[in-house]
Amino acid sequence: MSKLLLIVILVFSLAVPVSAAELAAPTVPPSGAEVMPEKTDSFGEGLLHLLEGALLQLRPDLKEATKVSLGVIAAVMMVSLLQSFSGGVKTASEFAGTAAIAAGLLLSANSLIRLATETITEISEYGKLLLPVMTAAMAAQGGVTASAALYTGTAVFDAVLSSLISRLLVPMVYLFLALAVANSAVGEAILKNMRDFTKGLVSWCLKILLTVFTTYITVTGVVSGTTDAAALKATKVTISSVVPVVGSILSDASEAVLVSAGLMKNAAGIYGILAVLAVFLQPFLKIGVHYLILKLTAALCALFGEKRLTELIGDFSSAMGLLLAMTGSECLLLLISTVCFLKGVG
Amino acid sequence: MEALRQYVITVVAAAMLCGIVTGLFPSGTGKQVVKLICGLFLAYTVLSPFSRGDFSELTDFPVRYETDASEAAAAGEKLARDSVAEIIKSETEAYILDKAESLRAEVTVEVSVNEENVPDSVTISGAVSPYARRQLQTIIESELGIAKENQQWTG
Repeated sequence: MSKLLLIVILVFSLAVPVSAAELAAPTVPPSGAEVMPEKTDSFGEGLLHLLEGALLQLRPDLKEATKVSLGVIAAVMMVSLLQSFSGGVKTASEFAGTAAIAAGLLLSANSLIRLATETITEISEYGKLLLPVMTAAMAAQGGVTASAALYTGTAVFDAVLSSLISRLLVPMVYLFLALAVANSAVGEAILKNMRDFTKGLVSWCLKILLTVFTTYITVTGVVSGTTDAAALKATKVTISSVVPVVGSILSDASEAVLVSAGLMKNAAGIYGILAVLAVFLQPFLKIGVHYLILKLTAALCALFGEKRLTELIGDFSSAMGLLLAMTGSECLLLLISTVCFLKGVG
Repeated sequence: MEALRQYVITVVAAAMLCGIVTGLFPSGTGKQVVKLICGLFLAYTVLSPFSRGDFSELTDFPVRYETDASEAAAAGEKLARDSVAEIIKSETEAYILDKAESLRAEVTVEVSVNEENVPDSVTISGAVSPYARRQLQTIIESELGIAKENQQWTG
């Protein structure tokens, strides 16, 4: 009877020693709830479900982007026809063409810039909720130093990146578009140089920030991971040196808590990654569709259109490319950090 | 947002003005000088808002997040320690109950653990014969490391 009681107590205690509620990932934000898979235990299946959901919702965006593209092609064609029939009104027709293309593309570009900004904010806010959970789970697993370092690094870089995007890079995209339109209308080299500088500055900022973050994560992971592994080993040695029976109970209990904390951390991490992707995928694909269709439009217009007008369409697609880079950077930052948390101690 | 709109308008207006002025001058040394002046003017227009920016809050970032990180890690550590303590407490109690039953003693046991999660005191209540009590005391001291003075017997 007593043996049975012991077994029951042992099994019960080893089942979920760490509180599941305290180590659960925060619920997916409303914008990603629609595509979020119900079962998140398998990462592969979850990802497939997310992709399916996001791709299915792309149809209206594809239609809208095609409509805008056809309008732009028609405008470029009109300008070309006008110029071929009356060569004397070259400047006026270029102005009119620029105005027509800018009017057609600025509206959708503005809504996509807003969408990207909202997505970045939402991912960043979700990250702020996910980070403490992952940190606590990793610390419960013995990675106290590594988890704190990861949290600090991710939170600082996330704050810098999201405020850099909203305060500097998004205004830079507007500035880039304004300069592109001005360049297309006037055709001065100084405007072209300014436009290229703006674009270069945005991508340079993102590249530098992500490179520094990745370096920080790699170095911190190695240094603090080794410290934690050594501390964990020292704890195990200390435990085994305690009174025999207590030592064995202590050792078993510690092992059980480490294993269950690891399970909780993995579950929270996978849910967190899928939630971030659920928020990120649809806007990213939407901007991606516009980017690709504008690139295609620019390539088509290059066959018959004015050089400066074709360049303007290319600039709009470059602006979409910058938005993709910004959204992707924010998502990548959180994904890299979560994967590092999942990698664990040592 | 209004400041941003103002900034974009200013830069674009400045760039267009520069473009027009440069376009008006005929090619030659004069045009080169005008281009240089326009370049400097544009650089000033683009960069001046950043020089006025307040970046003092950026220095608070790491400190604020370090505190949050320490708190989250400490919460995780406490959670693990409490869970280990709970397991050790219940397993030690089960161990004592098992030994008591083999000595035909019906008791209830309450174990407390110290900060290192090592059992440091026990309260045993129930009707126990002097022999069984002595035996249990010895077992608890030798196998569980709880000194006799930390063993409280009631009932």
